[in-house]
Amino acid sequence: MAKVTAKGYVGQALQRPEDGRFIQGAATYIDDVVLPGMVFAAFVRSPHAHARVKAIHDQAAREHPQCLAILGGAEAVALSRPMPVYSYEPAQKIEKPAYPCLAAERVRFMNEPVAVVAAADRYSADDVAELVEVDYEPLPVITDPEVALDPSSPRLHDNLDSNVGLHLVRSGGDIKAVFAEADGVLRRRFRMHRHTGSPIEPRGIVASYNAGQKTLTVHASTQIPHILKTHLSEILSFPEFAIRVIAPDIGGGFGNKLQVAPEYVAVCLLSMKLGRPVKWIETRRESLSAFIHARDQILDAQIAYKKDGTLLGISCDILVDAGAYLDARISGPTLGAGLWLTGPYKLKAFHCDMKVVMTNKCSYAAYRGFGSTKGVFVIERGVDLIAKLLGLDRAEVRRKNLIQPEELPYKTMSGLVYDSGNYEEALDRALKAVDYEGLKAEQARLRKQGRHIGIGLAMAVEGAGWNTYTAAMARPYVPTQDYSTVTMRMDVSGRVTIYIGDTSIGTSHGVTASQVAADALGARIEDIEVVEGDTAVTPYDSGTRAARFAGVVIPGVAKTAASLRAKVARVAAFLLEAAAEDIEIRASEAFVRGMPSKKVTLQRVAQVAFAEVWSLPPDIPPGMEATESYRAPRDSICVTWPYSVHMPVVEVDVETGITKVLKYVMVHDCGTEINPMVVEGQAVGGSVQGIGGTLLEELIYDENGQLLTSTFADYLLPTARDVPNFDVVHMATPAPQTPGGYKGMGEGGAVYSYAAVISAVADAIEHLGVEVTSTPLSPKRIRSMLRERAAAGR
Amino acid sequence: MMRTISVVVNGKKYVEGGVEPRMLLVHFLRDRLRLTGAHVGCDTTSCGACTVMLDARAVKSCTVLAVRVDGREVTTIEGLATNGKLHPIQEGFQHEHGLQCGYCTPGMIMSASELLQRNPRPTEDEIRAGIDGNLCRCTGYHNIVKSIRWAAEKMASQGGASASAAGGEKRNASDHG
Amino acid sequence: MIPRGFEYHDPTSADEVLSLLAEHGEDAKLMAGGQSLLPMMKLRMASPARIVDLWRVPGFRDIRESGDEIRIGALATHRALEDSKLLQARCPLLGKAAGLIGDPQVRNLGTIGGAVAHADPSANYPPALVALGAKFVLRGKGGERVVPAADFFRDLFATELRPTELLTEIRVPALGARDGWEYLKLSRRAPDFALVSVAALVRANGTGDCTGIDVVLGSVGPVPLRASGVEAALRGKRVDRADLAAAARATALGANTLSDVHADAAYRREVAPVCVRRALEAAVARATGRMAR
Repeated sequence: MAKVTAKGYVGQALQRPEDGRFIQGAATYIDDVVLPGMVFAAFVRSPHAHARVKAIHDQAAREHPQCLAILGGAEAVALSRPMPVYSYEPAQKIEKPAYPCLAAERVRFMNEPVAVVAAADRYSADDVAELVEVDYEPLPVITDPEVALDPSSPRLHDNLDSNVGLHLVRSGGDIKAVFAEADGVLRRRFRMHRHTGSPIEPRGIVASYNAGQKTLTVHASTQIPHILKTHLSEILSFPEFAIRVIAPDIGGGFGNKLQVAPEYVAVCLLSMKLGRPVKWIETRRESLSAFIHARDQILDAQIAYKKDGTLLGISCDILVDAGAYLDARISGPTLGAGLWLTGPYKLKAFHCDMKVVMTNKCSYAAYRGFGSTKGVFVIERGVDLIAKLLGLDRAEVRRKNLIQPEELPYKTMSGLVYDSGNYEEALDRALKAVDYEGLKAEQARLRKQGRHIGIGLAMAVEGAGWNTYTAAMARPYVPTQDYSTVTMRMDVSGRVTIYIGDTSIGTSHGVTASQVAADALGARIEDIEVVEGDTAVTPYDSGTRAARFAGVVIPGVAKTAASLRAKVARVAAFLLEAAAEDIEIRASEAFVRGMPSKKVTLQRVAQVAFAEVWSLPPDIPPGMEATESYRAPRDSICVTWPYSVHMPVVEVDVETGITKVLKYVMVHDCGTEINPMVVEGQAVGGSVQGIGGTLLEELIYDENGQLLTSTFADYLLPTARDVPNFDVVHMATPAPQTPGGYKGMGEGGAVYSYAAVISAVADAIEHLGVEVTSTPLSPKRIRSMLRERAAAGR
Repeated sequence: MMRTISVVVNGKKYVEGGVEPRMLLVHFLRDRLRLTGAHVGCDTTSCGACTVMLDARAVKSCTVLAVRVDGREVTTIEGLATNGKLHPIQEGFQHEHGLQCGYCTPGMIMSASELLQRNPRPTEDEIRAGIDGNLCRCTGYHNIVKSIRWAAEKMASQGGASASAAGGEKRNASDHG
Repeated sequence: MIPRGFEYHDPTSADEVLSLLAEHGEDAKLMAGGQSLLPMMKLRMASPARIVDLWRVPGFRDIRESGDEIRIGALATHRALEDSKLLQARCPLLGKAAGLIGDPQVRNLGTIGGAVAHADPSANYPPALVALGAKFVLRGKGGERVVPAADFFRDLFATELRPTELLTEIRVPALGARDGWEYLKLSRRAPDFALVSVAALVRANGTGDCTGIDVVLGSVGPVPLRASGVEAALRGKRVDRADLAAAARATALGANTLSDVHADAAYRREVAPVCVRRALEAAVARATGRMAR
């Protein structure tokens, strides 16, 4: 196990103690949860993208010997409130189209659930669901977001006056003046296509209603156990104290599992109807067609510049294709796209008009990057294109416009307040690590041989931790503040358990929280355990989202550990007949400074605090636990500001359109690193999602709203042979406002990699006379771009 | 018509009656035998999270009928450690941070064990090709490759892939495919 | 995710299989490796009333030489073909085609007979077997018949195999000492089905003249497509001096070119000649390499 050095555990690439159960197949994911009397649910889903529900014929299903219950839309709607919607920030317009857990009178996307059945076993549940027949009256389908925007198009929701669900406008500086003084304005339409996070573990829930106690226990694959509990309480009109949500081990989330799933609500209703536990495990086809979608935005941008390469301002209209219903978080990726358009550059003006429009597709919700993937894509691509227009090197144009360290804290025209970092140094390190000059020469040499390599370059400042959404679910929006509350309890053996109300979704909270707590407390890391995910035993927490763990939760852990340490020191001081301020604690032993032989183990301290209370003076309370909260700084929408420069190198086979990523270099700064191994794992994993989301993964709807890529045979996740090795260069500019200097970084990689891979492909092929302003960059699309260019050239 | 299956899993013999012919091996292992290490991640035989060894060959247990394992040997992730001692591949994954959420990990480790049985000194390309059938969404594969390489080196220093690796000795020329 | 129920038979001899097929005809579906059938059943795209599982039937798994022919049992797995030293020595084109199927786990179970009978238009074997001039042995209750590969693949997922027959053996001629070959699979990811595949065989004599050429494409139409125009352009020419790019441009796909979300017909038409050219380059390199010895 880890050795405690004089420097402590923080900063070491420690192995994860939690790995044991995972590598032995002994973890507990949602499908491993088995409760006595548990039965299985399966959903009946609409084959139509848009239709009225005329009638449900469930007689044959009810006659199936294993059928236990059937819940249809009408009954479900009567028993529940709609899914929540709100906006993170004041909006010009926010609508609340009713979003039912089961469709009652109208379905609005392919595979929307209309009924749910319960059967004795998993296999029968599918058979019973198949026996339910539904009569539909198809309605016109809208799949083009610009058509949905047209006021003459059919409305998806009768109670609204259009298909626009959300409208946000943000400005900073004088955009008109800036355009007037510009030497040139780059005007382009950029587009990122629909794809999604697709964790290898799909959704799942075991809802267990106890009719005698009138309690609801929900095991769910979720990133937000406490918030899910609060939402379920509102949606089901069920007292919140009587609900317990337990998040077991989670097989990946990436933001997708922030969803308050309609299916989760329906399964709760089924359990309440039956009075016994009901399990539902999503299939992959359900997941790709009816869970959440993301990334799909059109951005019409104008970037004003001077002919020496100075960037002046950016104005952009954004259209988000939200799908059929507004997910609770839809304002997030909308704002993420808009506010990140200013990049790490000193722009004088900014204007962004963001519209969220509804179409007959699965709903758009949160996915790693939370919209910033688009903002970064547009400004970075814009800078490249401007550099090309002006005949300047794109790295130099960036250098010229970068915010310098002495200018921090810097408030961007979009209202973000970057507080730390050295962006130019990161750029320089990346250029060096990838050997930019050498690669450019290599590129020229290879072009003569008819080979096309491309060097990508994208950089941005990321916002980790969002000050927007904590428990303010019921209200439309309130300016809020992120915070964490952490409890640490010592047990009689002297070991310590940290209770945090979030979940680990592959994010290594076990080891990282232990490293910080061990250092703050003076305990050996083996004596620390981390418990997450159970609302009955953990304090209220807004969950694992927005890369908040290191910047918001860890300071809470450190603060709580310090508080516990003080209590330990008091008891130890009493036992050692010393002053509390002279007590040192190291390796789970408390001793008097300068007299290491005068010591007592934490086990002994605990023994006294729990079992020999009679021996303590009256002013030392019994027990040994601490609960503290940490409030995040709220001078900006985000809490901490990590940043990266990504430089992938690709080769495009222009004859087939197939792109191979040859190498990937990144410079990454997330402030003080708790565990560099964990940091790299997150950054690389997120970057591979960018590779997949640019080159391989596509959610394709036809004009009838049928999703053509609804299984892993057609929705192509990167395999090991589709990605290269990664070189991660670490920088560490501590977060000035965060105790410990930690910055979150869980979205790291994803925020930058789309722009970086797009830039690399562009660098490979734009010299052939094409321009890359949209994704996917599939073989078919690259060939079609080159083919059109060849045809136009004749 | 229900069937009875007699199968040795991780060295232990099970006799299970009342098995529907349509029952998939992954559900037989998980729901009947309570060996929940193999996971279901897709419905098109794509993700490999369900990978186990059937007569010492890596297979996707979601695409095998349970009735087919009658009289045969299966090794799952739970059977990889011997007498509580982790297999070098399991150690490698912990040492090199080859897992984050862990959902793909059992299947990945089983595929790696077959890879190293066939090819004890794989190149990086061969490692990546060896896990063609296993999708990971968290790690980007970078550390998975390092984990497998670490395991290969450890196994080589221990005197080659031992018989205890990946359970089962049956490698007949006549495959029961 | 869960197949519908079915009647299940696991016979222990080929005769028993044939009796079951004779009795149930179209109602009975044979299962070899199950790596094509089970995925369809799990999506409920196929729901045969009756499965005749071949796993207990002994034999039909060997790969052996018989004169200048290699005879492969229909139940030999893709893995067995991939690993076969005999194929590596005498017919490496087929071994390579097998090794490019799917992923290791699928190759451990999937069989050549099952894949051939399933006849997915994007499968690896069919163009390779047509190019090689393979023959299939089909056994019914009445006896056996031998069908050439070129006559076997009739349409999308449709073959010459009758519902009452069992494919027992695939016979391929061994390559000659001076033959060049290549199997090229173009796909987005390695385990995917091909977007376009090419099986190329170039036979050369002692003076380097092309005495035989077979270029067959897969995944461009419902059945393997022989690139006759390409073959005509090269037949009789000196292989080491032929204009392979010009020959490849004679690749012509039919009106029924496959089209899906990954590769529409326009893409396949554009890319097929590129794949043919690359396959020819590799095949000629192998042929001339052998010449040089």
